[in-house]
Amino acid sequence: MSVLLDYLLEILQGLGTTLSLFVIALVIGFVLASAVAAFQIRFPGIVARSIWSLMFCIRGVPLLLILYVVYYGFPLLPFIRETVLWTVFASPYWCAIICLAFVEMAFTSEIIRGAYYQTPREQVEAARSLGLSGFQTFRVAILPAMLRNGFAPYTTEVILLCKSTALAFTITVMDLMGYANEIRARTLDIYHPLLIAGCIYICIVVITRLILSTLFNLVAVGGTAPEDRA
Amino acid sequence: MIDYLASGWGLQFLSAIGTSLTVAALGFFFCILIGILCTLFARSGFRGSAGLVSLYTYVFRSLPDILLLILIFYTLDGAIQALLHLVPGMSGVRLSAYVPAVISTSIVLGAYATELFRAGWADIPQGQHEAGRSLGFTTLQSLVLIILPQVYRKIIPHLGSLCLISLKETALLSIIGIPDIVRTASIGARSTGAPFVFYGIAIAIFVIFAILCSRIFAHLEQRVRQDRAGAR
Repeated sequence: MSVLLDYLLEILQGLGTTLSLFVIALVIGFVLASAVAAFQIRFPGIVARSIWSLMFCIRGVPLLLILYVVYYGFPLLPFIRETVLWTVFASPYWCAIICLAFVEMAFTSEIIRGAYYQTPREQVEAARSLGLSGFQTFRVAILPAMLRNGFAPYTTEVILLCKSTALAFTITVMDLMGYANEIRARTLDIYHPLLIAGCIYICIVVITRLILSTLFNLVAVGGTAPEDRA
Repeated sequence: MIDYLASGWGLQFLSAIGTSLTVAALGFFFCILIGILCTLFARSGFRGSAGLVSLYTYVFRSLPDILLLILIFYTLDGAIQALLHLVPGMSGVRLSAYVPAVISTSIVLGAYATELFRAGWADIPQGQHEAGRSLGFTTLQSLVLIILPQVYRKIIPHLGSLCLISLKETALLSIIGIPDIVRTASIGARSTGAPFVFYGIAIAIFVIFAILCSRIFAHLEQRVRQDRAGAR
């Protein structure tokens, strides 16, 4: 039992790293995704299609591969090695954040775009005919509908991001998974360290779900979601 | 790039693509099987069966995939080797690492598939089973001929992304030591000092697969739509 406690204390050293990877990547990813989605909505046609294709490609490549490219490949580029960028890319922690945010951008922008186009057109026209300006229309007619439509897929995406942070240990970041894997390699005990880390991850996911649904209930405006057009 | 491919890395990549695609295809097949079986079990009406299946999907969708893969892979690997030792005359035989790799991938993906099938199955009335039986179908026949086609129509858009996820999941096996696309690329990148060539090839393979996958499933979806329109 005391061994388990020792493991738990050692693995918990990585909790801060995991949580900060998760939250920072989530925020950066969301900001980038909003920008990308806004760009796609604002400039339909060839611009939107090419951005969409780029995002599609990013979504098709495993995060692990992107981590390897950034961590092992980028230091060979002179313009990264010899400029101020090196201070960022020399640290595996920031490499992991950049990769996670990058992938998160690709998935979230599609959720935001989808939520925007699910908003009924009549609702926008009704707001316009009441004399609201462009931003006011967005705030009262589009945003509430987007929140309702996008909430469920975004929750899933946030949970996926939380799980993806565990891959950071492959580029020597010592997060929860990093410490658990270190104990596994040292003691050849597979179950205890990994199961302890697993319990911590489940706690993080449960708390994240609670926070997200509380936030949603705070900002959501009543109304009905459009029926599932199956 | 051609130089590298001609000097033997081309063959390495071909075999890596074969490995990845085989594991992904088997994983996709078995995870759908797990999805169907778990949904049947959850709907069977046994006390607690639905709760048990929900627990499986909730826990497996909350844990990082890599953690689960390492856990299941080493457990199965040990268990299979121990079982082989019990069989007389088989103690010298070592089973390839691909078997636990495929099984662990399928169990992890099975949680997603189960969730998908349960959603697709949700509004199919139980009465259809009885209708099938009154027409003289056996249970298996009514499942395959009546129920599953309807579920298939509902979940076909999501099956495409599940297919893509199964290939992306195989990338994680490189951490365990299976020589898949990502592992081949990173070994090549380290030993030749040309990371962008090797990682570039790997990325290109994944992107091509993603495009193929979306084309195929868009086509299947189109066909389902036409079938439906024709039936009306």
